[in-house]
Amino acid sequence: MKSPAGLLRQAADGTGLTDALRQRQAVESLAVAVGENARLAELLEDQVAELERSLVPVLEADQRARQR
Amino acid sequence: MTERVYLHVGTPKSGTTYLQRVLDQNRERLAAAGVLVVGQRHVDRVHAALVLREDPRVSTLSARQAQSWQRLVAQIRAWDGPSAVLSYELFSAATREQAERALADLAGLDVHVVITARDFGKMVPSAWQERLKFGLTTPLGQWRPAREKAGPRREWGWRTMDPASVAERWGASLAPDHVHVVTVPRERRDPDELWDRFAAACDLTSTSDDLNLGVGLVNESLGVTAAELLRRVNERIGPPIEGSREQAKWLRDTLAHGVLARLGSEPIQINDRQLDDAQRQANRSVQRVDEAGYDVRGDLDDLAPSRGAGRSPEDVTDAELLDTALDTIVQLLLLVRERSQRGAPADDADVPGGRLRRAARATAQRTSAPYLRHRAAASERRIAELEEIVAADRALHLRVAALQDVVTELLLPLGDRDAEITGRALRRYHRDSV
Repeated sequence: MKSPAGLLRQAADGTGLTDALRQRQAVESLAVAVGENARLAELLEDQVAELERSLVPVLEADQRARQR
Repeated sequence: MTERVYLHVGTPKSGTTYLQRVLDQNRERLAAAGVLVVGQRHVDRVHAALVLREDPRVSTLSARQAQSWQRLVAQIRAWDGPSAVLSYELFSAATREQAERALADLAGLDVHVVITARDFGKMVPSAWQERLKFGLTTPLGQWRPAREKAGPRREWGWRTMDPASVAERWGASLAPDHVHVVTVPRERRDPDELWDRFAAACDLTSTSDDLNLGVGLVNESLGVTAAELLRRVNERIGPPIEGSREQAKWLRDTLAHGVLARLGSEPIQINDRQLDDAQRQANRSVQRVDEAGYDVRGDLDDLAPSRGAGRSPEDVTDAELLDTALDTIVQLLLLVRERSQRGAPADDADVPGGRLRRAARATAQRTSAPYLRHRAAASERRIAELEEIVAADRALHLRVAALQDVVTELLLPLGDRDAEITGRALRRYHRDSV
């Protein structure tokens, strides 16, 4: 005798429901990974912007030296 | 900041799949060299071309897909390297007004149009095959590509396959040296020659040495027997396999690409009338390209039509057709078996309780359908959000890579530094960071 869950699974077989649920889980676990990445990127972005700003005077001096 | 854009707009069946694979496969390396491969996925470019061409199929696209052209333009404008390459062959079907609109959307950028083209004789059976994948029943001997004057919906005619026709619509407002006609080498002595010519037109030659040109060949061409078999299948097939979406799924993807393309590769030969027709078209085309003064990469002699090796589909015997049909049945059976094992239910009509089970399943299908539609739409939205976040991360990675380049330059003695790298960085830092 099959359990109610087993019968439900059997009825859902071939309807695309199980695929949709699997896809939803895959998208959500991808979302978690992308979210973690994005949080790390925020910190990195601030550091990159600061480095870029600090390079501006150096690059301007480089250009002036080149022009001379 | 993007300065130059190369729009590779056609022609179909001129090595475009190969070139797009090289571009996509080397996306990261090209980005590091400042070149954007426009469109995250091939399908983005397909949708963008439909939108630009105001194709009626746009009404079947989602709201996000219907914005594909605008998203590609935004991607080009947001790029912080010097150039971008957008490649999709069916932009070739655009009218002059549609092409002008595309160029207006890219106003302020130095736009170049690139058109690849090949032997006019070989285009005829290629175009016929493409039409077979969408239900054509006309034998090759009686078929000819649509005339140049045919409307923009005719994707497989001289209007899209003749480089002069495409160049005149896309290059009408451009200087001739901004319209590049790249010919497909007649002899494939050097496997990279087509790429080398395309790279020269798109100013990618200096980065070519770092690229991986070894893309796997996907054979979507049919041999002569398989093509004739498909034509005869088309004579018998009808509803529900009708309309371009159904035909694309079952005739093109499942039968032609999934099965028939693997069953023989004997080339298809055209007849005298078709050769004469191709010759006239090629002569006019070469003259128009020549007179317009477009930049030609390769040799216009490559466009001269050849009859091709192989046989005409009319010469295929019934025995050969039967043999290929039997192989096709075997391959289709294996495909059905594989797909049913992947999740679709087996037919359980003969097992005890089978009828009850089928009824339960039909009810489950009816009740779950609205939920599935809702889920599919929600997944599409979620994936779009995630794609945007990933795109932002990708931009940051490129920014870090550029920063490394700048620091490396500054460690060199002044005379050895690349002024372009430091100058570009300074302009961008002023714009974005300061």
